[in-house]
Amino acid sequence: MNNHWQSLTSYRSPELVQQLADAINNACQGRVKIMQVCGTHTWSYRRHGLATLLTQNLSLVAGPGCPVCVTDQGDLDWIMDLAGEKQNTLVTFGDLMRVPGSNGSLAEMQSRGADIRVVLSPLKALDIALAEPSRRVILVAIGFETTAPVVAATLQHAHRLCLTNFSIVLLLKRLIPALRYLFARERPDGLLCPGHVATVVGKQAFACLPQELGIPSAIAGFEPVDMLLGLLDLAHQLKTANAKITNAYPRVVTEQGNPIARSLIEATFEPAPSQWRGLGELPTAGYGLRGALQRFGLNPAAVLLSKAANGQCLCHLVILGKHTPQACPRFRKNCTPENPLGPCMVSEEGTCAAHYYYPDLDESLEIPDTESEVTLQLPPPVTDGKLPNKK
Amino acid sequence: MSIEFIQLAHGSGGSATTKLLEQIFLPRFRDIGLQPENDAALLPIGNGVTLAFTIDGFVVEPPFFPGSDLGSLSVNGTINDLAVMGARPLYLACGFVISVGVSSTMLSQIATSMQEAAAASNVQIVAGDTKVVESRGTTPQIQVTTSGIGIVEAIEPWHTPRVRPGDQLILSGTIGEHTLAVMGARHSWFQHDPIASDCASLYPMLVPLHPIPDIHWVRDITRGGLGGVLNELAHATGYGIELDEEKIPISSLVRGWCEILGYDPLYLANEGKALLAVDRAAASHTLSELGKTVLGRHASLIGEISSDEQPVVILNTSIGGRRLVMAPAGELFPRIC
Repeated sequence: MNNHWQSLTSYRSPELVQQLADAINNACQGRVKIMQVCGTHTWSYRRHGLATLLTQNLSLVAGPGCPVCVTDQGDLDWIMDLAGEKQNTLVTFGDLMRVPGSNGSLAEMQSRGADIRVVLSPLKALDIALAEPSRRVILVAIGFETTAPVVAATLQHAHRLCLTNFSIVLLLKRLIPALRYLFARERPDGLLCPGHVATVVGKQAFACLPQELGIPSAIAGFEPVDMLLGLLDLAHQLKTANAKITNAYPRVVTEQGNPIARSLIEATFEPAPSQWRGLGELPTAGYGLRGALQRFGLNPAAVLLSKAANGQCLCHLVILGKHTPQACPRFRKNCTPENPLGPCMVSEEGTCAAHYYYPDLDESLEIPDTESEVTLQLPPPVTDGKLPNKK
Repeated sequence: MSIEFIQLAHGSGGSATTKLLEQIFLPRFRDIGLQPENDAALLPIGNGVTLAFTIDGFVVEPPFFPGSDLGSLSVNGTINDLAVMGARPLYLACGFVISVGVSSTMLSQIATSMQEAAAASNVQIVAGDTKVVESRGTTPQIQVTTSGIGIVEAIEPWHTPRVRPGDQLILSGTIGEHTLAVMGARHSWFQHDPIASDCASLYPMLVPLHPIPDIHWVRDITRGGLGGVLNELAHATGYGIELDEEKIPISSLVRGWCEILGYDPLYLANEGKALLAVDRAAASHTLSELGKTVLGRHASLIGEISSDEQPVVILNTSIGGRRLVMAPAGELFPRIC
């Protein structure tokens, strides 16, 4: 761990950061809107105070790259229903614990006695299933292509072990198809592509975005120097009006990605429709289980309509870069990490949480302590005729 | 917004905790002597003698974790609340709330740790109480409350009214170990490279500072972390704070795990670290005195009280950027990717 950390410090060099920031500021003459798809980019950008080094011509908006935030509210309610059943042991990543469902959060359910285990690796779910054969162990799989390989490995191993008390709530999502749907109607000036996803799928998987949609795209890592290298690539592409995919994270991302991870995904999943918060059902932006592995999959008894989705929060607009968190009348008032109204305020990758913990330097933090509900003027729905609507 | 029911967040040391105190306790207890801004109450008893008096409750799951356990935590935690007021801890009292089903082995181990921690600090445990309660569906638990009394030895009081613009902020050592040690034990993380809690008595480290008149304020950085304590200081004094990220000591093990888990080390709890505000003229003397002690050997000057009358904490990031450090909010959970 010590050595790993030391090798990262050069990506936080103040001199290098300043040089890169100067180059970006010189290249960015007009106003540009860059979408940073990944929540980790948002966090890194704000945590290191990068905005204070970059020209105001450059605005970074959020994208649908936080796994918890794009999870549909109906799916969240389904997970919580499963957690409420006595015979179930729900295995989940920590991010989901505080996400509000229609009847409280998993953290609240856990404090009332529900059996919910937080893990760092999905494989841990198998240890639990083996050690406690009387429990029905349910793994909640949310995440993107980054998380898919280890979930695939978990399913393959469960199959080899012939486990009968293990199932999965498969909510994994495929990011690139979703971006194509999103950008078919409205596109940013440039796209900072997520290094984590690219590590698995490879640079070439993103080539469709500049080729088909003409969006300048750069794959970037998450250290300040990594992010600035990506932004500099985009600034150059915009200056020369030449949209392509560049790789500013070559120490990790290759042309074709990780072959083992990709073959695990290929052997385990097939593209399937998926519900995305803010986007509705997208035909190929999710995963289904292949062949014999289908026996592990759980399906919701009914499509759940959630009351939390009906205007309590603007998460669905924040994750599409249409609203900043500060534009939501509930941000920092009725909606805080302690009392979140939507997933963006909860997750370690959520845009609202990033803006809450790391505010703009000139942001007003005065909170009127009022019990009155903030009236919300809801903008028109995001989905229109071009996108498939939710069932 | 008024509090309807108590939630976990009300105990996390962040803004929900502040709200709980402001709504329930401060209006009732302030007029009858409560000194909420200090870790221990200061009670002058004549002849120039001032007592420091405090109480603290401890619940930790699991009760045993690398580097410490509930027993030593409950003794050192209260010792530290006295020590950061410039006092010599003398006597403790302890109360146990034990739920049905706790094993006597576990209880003995915790009592032994308390005995050892008290002996190591030359403190006597002079009174105690036990209560047994039903365990309601959860793991049997032990809650320990300790109260402590000491005599102030610092020649000038270490408290908020003495803090002023230009004061230098000194952190006594690396941050983040305690939370990661507990989380590691709770979730079976870091088994190959365990992180040990920093739980320790701060008294030996602070004794050499008692004769320095220019020490203005000292706090131990527990729940809510450095970010929490700094925001409380800013609000209590009404002054802004400027910090240098580069100067904040964090071990590479903690830093690396925080990157992986998505934790901000500024919000992790510590049980053997102090933050000091000292007059600019006394900063280097204070640092060298701390540097001679075992616990203070990594002490570092991390920032200063600014003359800005906006009570906010500004961090100059290690890459040359600037941002605000907010008060902590909510519980810590690890992230997905």
